[in-house]
Amino acid sequence: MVGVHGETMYIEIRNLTVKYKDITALENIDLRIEGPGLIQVLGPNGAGKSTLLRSIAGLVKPQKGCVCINGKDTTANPRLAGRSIGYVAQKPEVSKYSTITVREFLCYSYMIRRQRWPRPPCRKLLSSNELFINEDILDRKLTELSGGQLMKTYIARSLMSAPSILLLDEPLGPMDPASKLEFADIINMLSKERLVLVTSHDPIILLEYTDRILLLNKRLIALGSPSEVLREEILSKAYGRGFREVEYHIHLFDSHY
Amino acid sequence: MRSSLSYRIAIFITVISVILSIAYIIGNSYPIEWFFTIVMSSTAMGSLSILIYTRRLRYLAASSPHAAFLAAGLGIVASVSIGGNWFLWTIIIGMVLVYVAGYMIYKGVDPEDSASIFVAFSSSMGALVLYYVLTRYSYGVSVVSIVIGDPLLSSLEIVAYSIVIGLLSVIYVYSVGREIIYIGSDIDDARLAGLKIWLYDWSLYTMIGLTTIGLVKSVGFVLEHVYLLLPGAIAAMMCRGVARSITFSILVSILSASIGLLISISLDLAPSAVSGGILIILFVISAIMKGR
Ligand SMILES: Nc1ncnc2c1ncn2[C@@H]1O[C@H](COP(=O)(O)OP(=O)(O)OP(=O)(O)O)[C@@H](O)[C@H]1O
Ligand SMILES: [Mg+2]
Repeated sequence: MVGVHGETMYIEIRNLTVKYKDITALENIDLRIEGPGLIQVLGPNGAGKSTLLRSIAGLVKPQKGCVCINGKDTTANPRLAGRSIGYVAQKPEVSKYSTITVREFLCYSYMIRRQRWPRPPCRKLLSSNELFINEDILDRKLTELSGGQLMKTYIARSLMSAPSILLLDEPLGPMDPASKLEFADIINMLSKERLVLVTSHDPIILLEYTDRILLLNKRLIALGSPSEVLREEILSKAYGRGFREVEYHIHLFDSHY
Repeated sequence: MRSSLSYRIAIFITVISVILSIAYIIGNSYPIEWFFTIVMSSTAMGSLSILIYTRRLRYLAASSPHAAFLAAGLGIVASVSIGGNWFLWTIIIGMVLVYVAGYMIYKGVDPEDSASIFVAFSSSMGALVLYYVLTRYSYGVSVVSIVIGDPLLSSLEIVAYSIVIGLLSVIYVYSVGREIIYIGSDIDDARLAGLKIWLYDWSLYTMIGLTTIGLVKSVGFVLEHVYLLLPGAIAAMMCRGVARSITFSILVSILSASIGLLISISLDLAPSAVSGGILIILFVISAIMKGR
């Protein structure tokens, strides 16, 4: 429950219901998760995975219920949630006329959180580069990046506020197989000191690093260790007939390791 | 490499053109206010350009000159029938219109939809009002300048306004531009960082309104679109980096305005139209350079 920096990190959700007009995205979710560690959020399309992450970040207003982070009620309060949380959306969008470079993007994210003058210069900030971003893309515009490079940039950006909780919505989606493996390592490393929630449609890549799996389909279906959750009778509750696909991958995984 | 070269070239050409233009005006004993009115008007709009693109407010920006058109017409009616200063009436009415459009976007109406409704409303109402003014009052000259602009006929009031609003826009962009650009790049993270999005948006609507409405008579509402949108589009093609592109779009505005003024005085053409034409030429040149 206590991270390397001595911070506590836990998320408590009580009776959370989120609706978009007449569509119910989440219904009566109750859960408590603690870090550090890696939690995979699984569920079929439209299960409410993104909505859950956005609710935790305070970015959506629930119809009912509340979200507490480290004991503070942060429901629909991104400003308060943002003190502990770094968040990367499923499909970050960049205006096609935007001229912002990767370097500026990272620096601005850091600087807008510090209102003190004079502001620290950008170059200094990025010189100690633990950011797993290739030097040669630092001066490219965001509009000049590929999907995978853009996702890496957004993940690096989410670290600029030194969050104890990271919410990554399908971070491995746009990445090639080699980057997926590279990123699985990075996510593993990040989850050593932080509580990291990752949504995905393919639990296998991160499975060996995963502490718990949260299975969702509007309602919370299961929350437990991979061996507790990745079982036929439980998966079929979320995926219906589609679970065989997931199960097939898991067998593959079992035979490999 | 290319972008830093074009950046230096832009600074160089801009300085030369400013010097030439001022020298020509002084040398031929024309009023120096002409230079300030047109260059500062152009700077005011050009400096907001990059923010408008990044914050995806192109539609609001494109509709605010139409609001200015309607407001200027209503301003004439109000100042004649109720009394008071035309310029003040125009600003007040215009700002109300811009805020209504901004509020619609804020409330979640799609910016394209709100802009179409808004443009349709203000253009048709504007035409109605100006027709009324033309047929009832003897305001022909004013009405023409609202449409096509005439910086050389500006009253001292408008000259002063252009200088103030030009400086204000530049200060505004360099002081809060970074936050607005960041909101446009990652609004979720901006909310997590605790930025008051509504406040930044409101300030940007205010700046767009104050420039397009206050300068409608000197620039003309037709050319305001060009001044507001082209410098940012040119800078976005030519530059990497926000800091650079903002400065670049300001340079482009100063350059086009000062060369435009020089050409228009010597050939006796409409100044804001010539400057607009230069912006279009610069746009085409950058599009070709970028295409290569
Ligand atoms: N902005 C929105 N407006 C209306 N409905 C929405 C909105 N966002 C999500 N929904 C609906 O809420 C439900 C949950 O969506 P959500 O994006 O959370 O699912 P997800 O599990 O992340 O799906 P995916 O795997 O496709 O990313 C879906 O039925 C979706 O249609
Ligand atoms: Mg999703």
